[in-house]
Amino acid sequence: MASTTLAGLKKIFFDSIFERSYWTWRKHPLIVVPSMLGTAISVIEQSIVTLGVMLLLISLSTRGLLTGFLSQLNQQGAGFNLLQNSSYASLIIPIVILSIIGVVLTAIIGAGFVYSSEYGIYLEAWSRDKVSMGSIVHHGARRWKAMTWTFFLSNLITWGPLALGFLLFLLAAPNATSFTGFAALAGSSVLIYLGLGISLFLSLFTIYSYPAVMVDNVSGLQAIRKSFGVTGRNLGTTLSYSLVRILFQLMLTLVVFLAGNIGLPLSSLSMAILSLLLTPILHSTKTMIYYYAKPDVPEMPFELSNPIWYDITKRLPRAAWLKIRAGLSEAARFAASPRNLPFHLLSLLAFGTGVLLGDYVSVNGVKSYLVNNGYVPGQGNPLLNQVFGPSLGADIFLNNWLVSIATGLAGLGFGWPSFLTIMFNGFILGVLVPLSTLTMLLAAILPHGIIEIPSFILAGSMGIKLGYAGLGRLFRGPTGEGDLIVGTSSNSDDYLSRTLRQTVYVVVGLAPLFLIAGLIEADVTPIIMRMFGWTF
Amino acid sequence: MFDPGERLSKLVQMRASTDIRLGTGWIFSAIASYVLWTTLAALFLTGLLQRIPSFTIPVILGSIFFDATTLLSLLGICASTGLAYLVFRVVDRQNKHALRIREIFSESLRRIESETRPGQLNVLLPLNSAEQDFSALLQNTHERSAILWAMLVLIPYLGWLFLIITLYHLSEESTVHERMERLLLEDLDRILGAAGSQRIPVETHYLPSRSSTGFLLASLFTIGIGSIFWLYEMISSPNRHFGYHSDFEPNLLAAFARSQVARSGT
Repeated sequence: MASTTLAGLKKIFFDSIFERSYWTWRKHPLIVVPSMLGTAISVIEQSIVTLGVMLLLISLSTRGLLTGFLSQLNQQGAGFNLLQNSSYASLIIPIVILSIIGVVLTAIIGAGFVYSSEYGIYLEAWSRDKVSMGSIVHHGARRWKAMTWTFFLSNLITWGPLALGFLLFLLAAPNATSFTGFAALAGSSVLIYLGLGISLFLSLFTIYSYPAVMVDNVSGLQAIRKSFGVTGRNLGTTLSYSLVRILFQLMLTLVVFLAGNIGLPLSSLSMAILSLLLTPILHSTKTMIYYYAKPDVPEMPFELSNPIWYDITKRLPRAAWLKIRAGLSEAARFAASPRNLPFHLLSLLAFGTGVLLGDYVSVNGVKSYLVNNGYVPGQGNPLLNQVFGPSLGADIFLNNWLVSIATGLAGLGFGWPSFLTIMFNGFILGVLVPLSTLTMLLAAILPHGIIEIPSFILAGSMGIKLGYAGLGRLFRGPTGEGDLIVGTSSNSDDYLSRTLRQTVYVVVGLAPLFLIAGLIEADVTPIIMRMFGWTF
Repeated sequence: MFDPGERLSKLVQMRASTDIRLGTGWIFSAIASYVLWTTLAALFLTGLLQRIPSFTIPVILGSIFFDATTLLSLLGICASTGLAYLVFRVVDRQNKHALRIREIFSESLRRIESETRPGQLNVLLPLNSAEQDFSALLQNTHERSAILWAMLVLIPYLGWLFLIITLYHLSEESTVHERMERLLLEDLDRILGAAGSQRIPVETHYLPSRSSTGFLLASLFTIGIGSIFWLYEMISSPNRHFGYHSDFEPNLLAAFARSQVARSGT
């Protein structure tokens, strides 16, 4: 019978799922939010490192040890020598250990929350007409423990062989002076390649571990076992997925490298394409390959969709502009609302504190360190002469915009990552203050900074508000009533969802401001800097 | 006797979206890609590339660094992107055509099966044969990922090898598809004839005569030039097959519909 024959030969066709993933992404642009949250996790990790570095510099500075520390930093074997000195070691060791613990915990737990909301929302977006911001939070809150455990185990199993190879190589390295020691080193370097091969092979089989957590409600080894099963039964489709993913990244890297060689910096554009377009579509494709591989799910029906390329070139730019315009209005409302004044003030405080701390460490050692290491006051970046200005402007715009997106969304970590990121930006500016005269500094900062700095502060302010909403969810629980800002009728879950939605709109709406600032920074600021005595 | 149903009509209407006649002008992107990458390789191997001076061209608000290797590589990637798009269209077209035909046959056989009485041996015998042929069609046709092969073709130099592999698969599978499809149509024609319905035209004189192995060897021996002709062949030859489909599909629908009219009249 024809139908029975069909059922016996169920096919999972990569292209059909990829195409439908694209249209799902177009229908529900909200599915990029977990990807954006992923970049926010990186910001949280960076903010932990930043906090560590800032604490170390300030502590050294207050004890009058900063100049000596920086002068020793340039010497050979600096790390070992610095740790020999008890006054440095007593500061460095605890800060480094705490930073490492913080980064690892954030990476694992953050991945648990982000992946559970990400894979959960893909599944929902495929089957529903509408997905809400609340669903993203709901999936994250519901399955983050299971996903965290799966993330940890999956990475341990996948990359364990490679890590083992490296470990053996490191253990063999100190004994390489004798012949047997050298032979052991050579053997362990082969083990690295072997470990890499095994890890890459395993990565093909553990690829569906995260979708398994959301589709089948399993976790840990069970999710990994299911992933092995699906890959084994659908090796061709899985290979297609993996190769397409690798090739997309390789081709983007190649184009960025070649364009960079002729003065067209495109690295931020590549990052934006990866995080806002390719990653959501490819991860959604992976989730749905896993879903359709289930024996009880019928084959995906044959249907035709509109050509993707036509949509990308003709309709997508307008759709994106409409979202940005809506975001700009949201950003204006957020900035102007008196109820948000506490968040604005906190963000401004972070920036101001950062400037003061940066200035303090610069005066107390960093300035002399930079000057001794070749920095010439009044000398701008000579690379500005070797690039095509508007292209650099676009690159700066995308970089700053992505950072502001991450800063805003990183607020989900109870506000402090946004606070720290803004403080770090102020810190960098503060370090620069003593390096030139005030007029020269203003000439270098003000032309674009007048737009860029308030935009960053606004993104930080939005992040702090998101953190406040997250704290409300943590302390009042999902059904807690009453909220200082949105009124008593809403519960904390609603408030968190609405604040997350507002954050996404605000950071998206900041795009035109960052574009203007980026173009000014690349094309106008250097001209003004030259007028005030800067050389390039 | 058999109801064509909405699904079958819809599948036939989809022909306009799946059986697309591609413009042969796209072949110039393949030629450009080949010329640019071979020029770059030839210049590099003869040492001429290293002698081309690099200089900075001042443009508005900055400058562009002119470097022959980088510019030729970027131009090569642009041309290869055109070629990759062409490969995507050719593979995608064949996939969608094959999937649609699979659905048409599946739907037709399902309808015939559901409307045939157990004792109707004159229909059941060709139907059994048709189902076996359909099973063989399913087993012998494989969809290749158009996205994957287009991406592979985009890889400088190595992509040309992937182009040859793609063309070999396409060529072989289109031959198998056409052969299996003809067998199925013959069965379907016998079923409709046995049920007293209008017959459908079965093309008996045409089957693609190209030799995939011949093209493969020619492509390899000519260091890729032969694959440009092969690609041209794969762009233009399905047009004849699609032309045949534009004849038989409306006839198939009409045959189903007429038997429906006949049934309601009796």
